[in-house]
Amino acid sequence: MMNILAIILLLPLAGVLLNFLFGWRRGEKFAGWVAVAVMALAFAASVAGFVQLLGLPPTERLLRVDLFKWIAIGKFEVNAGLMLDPLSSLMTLVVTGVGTLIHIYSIGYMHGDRSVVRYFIYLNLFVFFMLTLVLGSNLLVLFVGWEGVGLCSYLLIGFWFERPAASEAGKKAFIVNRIGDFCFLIALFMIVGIFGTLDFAAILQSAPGKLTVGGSAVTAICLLLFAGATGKSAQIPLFVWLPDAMEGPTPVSALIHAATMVTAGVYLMARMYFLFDLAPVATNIIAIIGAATLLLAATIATVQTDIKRVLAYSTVSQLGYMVMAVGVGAYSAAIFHLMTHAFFKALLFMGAGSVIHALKGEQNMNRMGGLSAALPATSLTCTVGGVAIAGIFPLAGFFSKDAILFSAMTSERGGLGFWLAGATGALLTAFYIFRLLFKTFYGRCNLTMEEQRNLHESPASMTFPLKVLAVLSFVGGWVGIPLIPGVNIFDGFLAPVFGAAGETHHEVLFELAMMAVSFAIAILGIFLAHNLFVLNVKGSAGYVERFPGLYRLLFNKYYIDEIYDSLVVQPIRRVSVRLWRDFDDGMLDASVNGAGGFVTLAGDVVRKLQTGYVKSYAVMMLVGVFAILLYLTTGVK
Amino acid sequence: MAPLEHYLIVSALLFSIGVVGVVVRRNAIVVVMSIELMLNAGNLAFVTFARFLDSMDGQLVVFFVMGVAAAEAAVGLAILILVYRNRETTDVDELKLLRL
Amino acid sequence: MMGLLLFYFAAAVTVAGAVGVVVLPNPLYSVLSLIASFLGLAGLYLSLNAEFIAVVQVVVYAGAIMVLFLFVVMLLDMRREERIPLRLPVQKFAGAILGVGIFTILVKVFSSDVLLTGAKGTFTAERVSEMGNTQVIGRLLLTDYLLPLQAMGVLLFVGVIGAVVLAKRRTG
Repeated sequence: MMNILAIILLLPLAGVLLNFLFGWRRGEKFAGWVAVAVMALAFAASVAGFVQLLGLPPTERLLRVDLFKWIAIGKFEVNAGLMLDPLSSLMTLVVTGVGTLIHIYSIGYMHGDRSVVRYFIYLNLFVFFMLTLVLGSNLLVLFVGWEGVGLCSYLLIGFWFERPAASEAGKKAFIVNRIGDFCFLIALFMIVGIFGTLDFAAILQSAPGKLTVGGSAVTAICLLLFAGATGKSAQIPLFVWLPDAMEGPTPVSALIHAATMVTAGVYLMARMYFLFDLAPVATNIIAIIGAATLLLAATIATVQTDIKRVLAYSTVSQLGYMVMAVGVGAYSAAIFHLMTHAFFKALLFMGAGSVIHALKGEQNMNRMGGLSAALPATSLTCTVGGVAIAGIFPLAGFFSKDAILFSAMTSERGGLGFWLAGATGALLTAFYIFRLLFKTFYGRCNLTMEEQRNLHESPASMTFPLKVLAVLSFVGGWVGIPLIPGVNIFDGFLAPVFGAAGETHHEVLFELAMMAVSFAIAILGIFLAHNLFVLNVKGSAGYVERFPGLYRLLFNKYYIDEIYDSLVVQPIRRVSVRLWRDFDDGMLDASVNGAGGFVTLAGDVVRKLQTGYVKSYAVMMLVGVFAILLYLTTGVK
Repeated sequence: MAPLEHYLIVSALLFSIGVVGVVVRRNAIVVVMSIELMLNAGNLAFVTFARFLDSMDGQLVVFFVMGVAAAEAAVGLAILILVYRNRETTDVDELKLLRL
Repeated sequence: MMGLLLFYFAAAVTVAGAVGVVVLPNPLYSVLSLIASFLGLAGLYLSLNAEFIAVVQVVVYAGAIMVLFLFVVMLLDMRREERIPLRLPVQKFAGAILGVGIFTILVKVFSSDVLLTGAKGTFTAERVSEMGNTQVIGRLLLTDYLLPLQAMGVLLFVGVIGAVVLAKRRTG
């Protein structure tokens, strides 16, 4: 059990237990630092695991441990097994690394909150489940983690549950996820039915034999798995919970809804890539949905006024990129973007949290502006994050997004359409993120003089993670620089996992040209944003006046929530009410009450026998004698 | 001596009349007397069978039945007297205190 | 021939007396009717060669028990039953049904073929009359039926005490 994998996994759980047993007595400082400590140790363990992997030859980079035999029914067996290969190692590094930074940030952000101990327990618990998800060696352990992070997401979104909006958002997240989980389960059943096992290695080996390429079975499985992924990774049609999830504390948004949980769907699909490679119809659908999602979310993000909402829709959009990459077979690129996105999105969220903290809870960008003077560290780091996400060379986002765009164009499952979607999305991304930056940190300040005087930068516990992530956003992409031989260690690292599937062949010149185009698009987006929100602020209002319908449509998120409500929620509600009133109350309760009533009725009838009238008793006895005589003489004869 | 069936029919008759008496009459004394009638009907049957089976057991049973009947009549009548003292009536239809 | 006539006469008296008990409204008349019925019964016992029983019937039943009844009737000063309709008019109906029903069943039983299924005893009528009915009964009482005899003694003893205790007037 002193296995490195077990250590990585159980450290956060230890944090949960420690805080659960002693947290409330020892107070906020204890809880926070215990949580941070276990996270830091878990990160160290992840690094150790990573190093251990590097020590092995590339084709043998696999560490496994089975903790215990979990299920054994006939020939079906599932072990509580963990496995570390390049993919899961990478994921653990991201989860524990970014997670540690966010835990540190939380100490500052949640300072003074009533239930801070509960917060850290939930946060550590979340990391435990997330690690279960990425370290699992079979689909069932992964599913345990999958459900667990869903639970923690609910708990943390609704952390301030006395606020009705927060508890509603938590419920929405959980219920919408449930739909995806249901599809996931059906996929699991099918896999068990076909393969008789849920172990990744076993399925990988027997997949070509048991499944026909493009067959209905594998297509169904892949689509069902993808359905589960749309829930967790907020794609069409199950993305609606993510914007509402902003009701939770900002560090929660950073950790769960930017860096880790939402990437679970992408991870799942990357993990099962060998199945997806066998179902071209499914992957086509996946790519289309990914492209559609990234465009939809990006358009909505351009007009939102709540700073966290912009970032939420941005997350949905970036997840769309990753999903599209999976759809066209660029698994390595998808994971690359997952990593860089974790860096800059967490940074942006925490930066937004810093701004909100400084403004004592204000989240409306229209009330911000010019904060760079009062919040230098925050604004600088956020700007770095914004530049990264916009895809400007040489920051991280440029390389990862470019990798996706390139694969979208050149992969045999891709095409011009996907590239166009991605490019448009890139333009919009640069636009809305710089709109956010300009409105928040630059330009004229919309606060009163009174409020401006009270502004101060956040404490070190909050700015330190920002700085670290800013550095990572800057250099994080350099592990994946293409073309220059030997520098793209990222792809090389993941190659044993994805086999030949992750490779794309390219002509040097073509690729350079594509990179230039990506860069140009990003610059164009920034230019437009600068125009509308710095130079010509009145002009932006003019656009709103000229296209009121379009503006309303985007501002109200295409009314998707309303559509869902009328198409799905209300009918279900009506059926439920009907079931409750007529069936539960009417039938079940009535039958139970009826049984009681019947007994009372019978009692009333039988009570009449006890007349108290002596003669009638005598008569009854004689009648009994008569009956016995009758029986004896007619029956026995 | 008559044939067996004749005696038994008399016995059945006596018993049935006794039953009717218990059910119909309101006077407590008459009810007790009807019960005595039924007892005697049984006695007759016993003696009849004793005779036709050449056995003395039936007669001895009758002996004991009479003894028991005597004791029962004595105690029953004593109770009747008590009831009369309490309720001023011997009408069994008035005795309905045992109800719920 | 004579025996048969004796039987019919005694039977008629018995049944008439029984009917009288149930029918006559005055309880005193009912008592007297029952006495008559018992006398008829004694006659029936005689026709069955049960002399001892016949005499005991007259002496104990008619002589003692019915006298007791008479005493109670006169003590409680009962009148004719009041002509209030029965509490449950169905009583008469039920009585009729029960009476007729039970009678029918019993007759049905008694007219079947296999009646005398018990093992025949050893006390044939001749032997009994030779030894004397009373002597036989006495001998059996003190040998085979000793326990029931003693038990009945205790029973009568208890009965007497019970009757006295129950009927006693509370002193003071």
